[in-house]
Amino acid sequence: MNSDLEDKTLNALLAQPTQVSDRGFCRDTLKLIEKPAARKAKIFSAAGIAWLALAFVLASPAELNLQIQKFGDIFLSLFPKSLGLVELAQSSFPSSGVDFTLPTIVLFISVVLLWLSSMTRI
Amino acid sequence: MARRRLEIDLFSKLLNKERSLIQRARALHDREAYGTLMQLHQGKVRAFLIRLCHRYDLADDLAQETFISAFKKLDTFKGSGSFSGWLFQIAYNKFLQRMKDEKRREEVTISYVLENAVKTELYEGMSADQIDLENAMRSLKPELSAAISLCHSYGYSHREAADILNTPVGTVKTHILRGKGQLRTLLNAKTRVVGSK
Repeated sequence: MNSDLEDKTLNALLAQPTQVSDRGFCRDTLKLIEKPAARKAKIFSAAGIAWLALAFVLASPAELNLQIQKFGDIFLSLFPKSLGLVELAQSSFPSSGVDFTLPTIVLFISVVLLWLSSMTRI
Repeated sequence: MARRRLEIDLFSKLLNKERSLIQRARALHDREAYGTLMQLHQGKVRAFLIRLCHRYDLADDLAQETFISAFKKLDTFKGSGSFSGWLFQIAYNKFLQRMKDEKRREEVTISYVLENAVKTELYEGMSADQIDLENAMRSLKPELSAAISLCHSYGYSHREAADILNTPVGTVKTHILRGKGQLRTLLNAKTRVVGSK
């Protein structure tokens, strides 16, 4: 480089802009862009399912009760009677006065399952 | 003449490609198209930010924020100016915001001076003169460096640079004049030191 740097030389040097090489920058940034989008999609689908369930309950609560009972029957038939789910529930809440019918147990199990699933990240 | 025409053809082809990528990314939220756009512009946006904040990690953080923010705001890009100009504007605002938030302009300048070796391995094919220039750029204030980079390195007019930096045209011209003066002094001093050895 000349000892007395001329304006032309400096301009020519400045006119060759340096470029930083990619080195995974685009890939990492795209991942960051995609992350919230995927989460949003999951939240939307969960909200959609919840809305459908609500609509189903509001449309026909009796039908829902029947469905839950059927589901409960199937669910309980999977376990041996010795497991004593009803007895377990009654012993857990001895003085609560809650009627531990099949739908109640099924609802209880559903709530527990939902709670467990909510523990995992969406 | 023929070479100039060839350059113009190439430039217009690139511009058309860029436009179609922007449309795809905007209308369909096509991440692949946006990825290609990012590949086209990341090199200069990151080099610009390195010149401003003098720290490689911070520059990359800001560059990521710039591209994420640009993707979210793609609908607001009117297309009246260049896409790269719009990106530079977001990047510069991100830089100013970060400096304002952390109130560490002096701190960054100090770390810049301390971290005075250019990481040549991060750049694409750097000549010895370019390394000297990048080292000298590190001594400039961000506003001087930004004005010089935009007008002399990336080919923006004073008016366009003023829009990107949100400052009057006169200020941009003053910053360029002052910055180039400082660069000349620094580079001449370096040459004298090398020559005397």
